[in-house]
Amino acid sequence: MAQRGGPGKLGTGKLITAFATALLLSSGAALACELGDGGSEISGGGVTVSYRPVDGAIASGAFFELDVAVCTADGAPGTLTAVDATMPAHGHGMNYKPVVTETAPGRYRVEGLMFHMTGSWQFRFDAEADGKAVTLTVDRMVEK
Amino acid sequence: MIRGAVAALAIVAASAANGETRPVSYTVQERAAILSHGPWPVSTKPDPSNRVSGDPAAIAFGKKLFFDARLSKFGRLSCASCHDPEKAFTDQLPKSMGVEQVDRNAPSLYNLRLKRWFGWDGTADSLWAQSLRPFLDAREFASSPELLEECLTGAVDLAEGYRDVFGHPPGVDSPETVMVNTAKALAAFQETLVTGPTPFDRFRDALSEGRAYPANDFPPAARRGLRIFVGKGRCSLCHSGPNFTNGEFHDIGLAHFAAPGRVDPGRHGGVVDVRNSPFNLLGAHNDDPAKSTAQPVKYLRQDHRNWGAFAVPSLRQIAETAPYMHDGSLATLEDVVRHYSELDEGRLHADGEQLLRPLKLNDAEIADMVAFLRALSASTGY
Repeated sequence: MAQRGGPGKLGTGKLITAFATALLLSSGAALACELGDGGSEISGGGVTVSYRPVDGAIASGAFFELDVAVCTADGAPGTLTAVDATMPAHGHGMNYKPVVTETAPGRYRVEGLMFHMTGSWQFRFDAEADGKAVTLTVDRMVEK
Repeated sequence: MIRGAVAALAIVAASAANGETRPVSYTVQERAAILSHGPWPVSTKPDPSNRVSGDPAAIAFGKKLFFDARLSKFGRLSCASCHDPEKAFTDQLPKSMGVEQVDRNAPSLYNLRLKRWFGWDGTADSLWAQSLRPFLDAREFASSPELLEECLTGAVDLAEGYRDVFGHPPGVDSPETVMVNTAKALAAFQETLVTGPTPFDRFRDALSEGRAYPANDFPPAARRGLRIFVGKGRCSLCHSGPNFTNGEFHDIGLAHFAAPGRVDPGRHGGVVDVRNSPFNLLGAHNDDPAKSTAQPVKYLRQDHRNWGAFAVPSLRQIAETAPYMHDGSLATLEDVVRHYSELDEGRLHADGEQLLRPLKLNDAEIADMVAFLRALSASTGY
């Protein structure tokens, strides 16, 4: 694209290029952590975690799996180190220990989750990004 | 006329205080909780880990074995000795008596296909693995794979039954395989022990359909007890779903000792045992190549709070299965309800769950709870 404008000023071409690059970076960050329909997202400490039950709704007394994506603020893949869940009001966690498997950079399948009673559970995602450990929690109500 | 109206109001008030004639209604949340305990029965499929699950020949052979005392070392005990059909497949003892007394109460054998774990400590993750435990326990049958193979091989009727189910006589298989196959036939029979709809189920279905339901079949006391069960009692948290159990293990403040100076490790021991068992669903005796039902043992977690935790039993037929708890320490349903009403929180794990609190029920409420629990029994063919 031909440069326009005088010295010391960005020409229109460079402005369009810069804008397009910024747009691409921000949409890339969003896309990197997007899991599609049914996915939920939580962020904190410079990390975004998206998660989605593989088979849709979570029912008590049945094993389920999660797809999880972990991203840094600029959309780079992060690392998921562990996933767990507790019932804070009851003072107990799951009777089963989930297993995390990386399926692609920043993408994970978590198996072995089971909520053995209805009520208010809380997911815990342990992640690493840019050399820092981050823990994010999110509540999940299970009604049946 | 005014005097009559006051008298009528007094009667209604007195009846309401007595709880005998006041209609029992439920909130939206209570209704949803009640409906979650059905419908019943729950349909099941054969157990993929047991290739003879659902097989008529295996069921017949398993039934024969269940009542056969030749399977035990001294020829005096059969499965029915502790799981008597006329006693709801229990023995009505606090702790069962095999060759010696064991540490725990004999659980009923109804509706076992719905379970994930077996035994008060969950030391088995399949019904067939649970069914071979008595052979290996020196206090129960005091048998062994070798003794069992000798028994089946030496008895024409048993050898023929084995051949009819497994396609060859028992002598062809290793002793361990004979024992596992015997257990699988026993499991096939036990899977057929299912209970039908109860007065609660009929009431639940009527509630679901918006129909009125006759009080004589599910009386007001049972309806009030049900409201406590799904409400302030919070019983539904652990005694959940159509089978009235979440299939897991909890500490409810009972004694942790099997005998003076000897701790019963409960679920903690069960986790260790099932993980180390060659008969768990991750092992070679699982007939399902995909091991599709092995998730519980595959992902099983060991926690300190497992100490003193025991299985949550189903409450179906509970009125028929006294005495209660893993050690048979509570003689009646009223004793059970009083246990929860007067719970000693100091006996619960300090680092354990914070689920339980004393319910502080009055005598009428305790009677109502018992009335509800009694309504969870169906007539059976035994």
